[in-house]
Amino acid sequence: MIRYYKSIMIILNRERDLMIRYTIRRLLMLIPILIAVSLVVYFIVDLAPGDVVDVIAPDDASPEDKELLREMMGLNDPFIIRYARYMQGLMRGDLGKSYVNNRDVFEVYFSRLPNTLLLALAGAFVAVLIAVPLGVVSAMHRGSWKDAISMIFGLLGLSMPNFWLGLLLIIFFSLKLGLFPSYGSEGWSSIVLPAITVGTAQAALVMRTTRSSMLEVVRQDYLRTARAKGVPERTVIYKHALRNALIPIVTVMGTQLGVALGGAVFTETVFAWPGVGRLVVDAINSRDIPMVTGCLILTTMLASFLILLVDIAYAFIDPRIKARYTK
Amino acid sequence: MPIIQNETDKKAVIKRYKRRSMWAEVWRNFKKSKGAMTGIIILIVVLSACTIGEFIYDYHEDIVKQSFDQRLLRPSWKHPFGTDQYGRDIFARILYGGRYSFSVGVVAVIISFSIGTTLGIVAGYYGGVIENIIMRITDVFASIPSVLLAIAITAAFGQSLLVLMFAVGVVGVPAFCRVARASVMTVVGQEYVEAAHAAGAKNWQVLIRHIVPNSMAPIIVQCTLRVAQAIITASGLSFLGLGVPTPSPEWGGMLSDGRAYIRDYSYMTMFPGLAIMITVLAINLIGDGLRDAMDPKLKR
Repeated sequence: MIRYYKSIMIILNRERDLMIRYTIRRLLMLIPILIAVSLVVYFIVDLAPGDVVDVIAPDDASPEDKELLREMMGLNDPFIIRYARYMQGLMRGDLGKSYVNNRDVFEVYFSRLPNTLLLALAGAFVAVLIAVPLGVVSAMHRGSWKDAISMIFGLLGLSMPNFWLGLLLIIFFSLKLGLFPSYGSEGWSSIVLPAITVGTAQAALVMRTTRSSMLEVVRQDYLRTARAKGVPERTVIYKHALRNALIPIVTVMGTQLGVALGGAVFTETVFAWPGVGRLVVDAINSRDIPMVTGCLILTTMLASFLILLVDIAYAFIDPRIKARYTK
Repeated sequence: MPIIQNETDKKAVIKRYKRRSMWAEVWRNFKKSKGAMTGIIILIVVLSACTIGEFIYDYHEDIVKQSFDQRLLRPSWKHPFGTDQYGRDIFARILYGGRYSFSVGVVAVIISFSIGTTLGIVAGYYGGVIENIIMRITDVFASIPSVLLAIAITAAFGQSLLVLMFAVGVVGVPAFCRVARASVMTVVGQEYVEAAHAAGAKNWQVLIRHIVPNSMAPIIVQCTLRVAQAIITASGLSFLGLGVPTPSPEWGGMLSDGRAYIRDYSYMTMFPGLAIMITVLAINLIGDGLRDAMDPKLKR
């Protein structure tokens, strides 16, 4: 044993080094993407009419005064210089102040972010809870009424706008039955309805993925082998089949994280949930441009970052992907 | 004695061995799917209801005119879906509002299709540096959450039907680009493409005659499913107050109106949402059916 120990450790170390190098390389590759993404968002929002001078200048200011003020504040500089200045501010955690209440954009954003992340995670939890069992049952009883019901659920979930689902949940569970509060974020019961709202749309997608991925796997020889050697059916399904069908499911869940950050806009509006989605909508409705720019850029960067993390996580989970990337 | 003796025999042989075109084949498979046919029927019913609404109702009289003696009436024979806070008939508004959903859905998909597919085909066919540049730009746009991108665009260009179409269209470009590229890449390697090149066909001839027609199937499926997606996104933006400006009866906007009266007049939120869901469901059914019909291998 000791004779082999050294060589085993060398192999393991080499593998770990490769993984670390892979992770670092992916993180470095993220930098240009983040820059490009923020550039695109900054450019689009920059097209919006009106600027800070119209807001802060006194009403009796002449156009010449305003022009002078713009010159002094550097608003007449070329786009790329203003963008560079903005990104410098981002590095220091300074994205300007809100036009509306003069609060620091960076601070407000990060005070709201935990709520959105909590909601996204709770939604993902609901999605997995509903979708994976449904998908497995549907694949195992393909063509039966169980399959039909699951598929109908999947289609309805995909076709239902989730802000409407949220409103329906409010009508039935908080107004008619009085079980859960219809808005706000106090206590655990207030997250139930928003989490179901976020989770259902994802559940539909995850259910369809689970089903097709399971159908792919059940044809494999190793399942026949497992059955032949007398493994109980439950173990065959959950250990041998589901574990191998898991990668596409995790992929969908991962990409849904980014979607959930953007989609939070609707759920948070419906339930008055104090997250970043609600912040964006409020900022747009009050024409609060620094807040809009800050929220959009930070959320987009966060979404890209999350997607990358999920991507790196696969490499750790699935040896096949690891083999492909660590060359 | 020859097997084919007369005209009737000849016709019978031709009929028996007649080659079915790809589209006939697709239609044959498509017809078999109950879901897809249900989808078609629902869609036809919804579309004709909206068309009939166009002739029955007058925009100024029935759709936007406020009559306060009629406000917040519950569903009845006279007003099947009830009336809203300004006394406008919700049934009439929903029928009229269909045009926004359908037009945004279709125009947005035309925008994403024409930009995305062109880029995808070029990337998949030429490869190399061009492909790299196109795909990296696509990656950047794809990593911006689509709702936020649409919100940024509407915030920048203001609120109107055209901006809404453009915003929802731009959001769909990366998906088309990726599907088209992947599809073209599977075709480029085929022998008949090599044969066409060997026979001296020019690049554009190969592209138009061989590559594009043979890589269309997944793109067409994508088109249908994206129309459904676009309708949801567009109504969502209207729900947030960023889509079709009031008082136009857009379904998402009507939902947002109903929200204020959800406690006592929940029917106001029921019907517009139902309209969105039924329409989107029908299109999704058709999309699923098309996918199965075009690629029997994928059918599960």
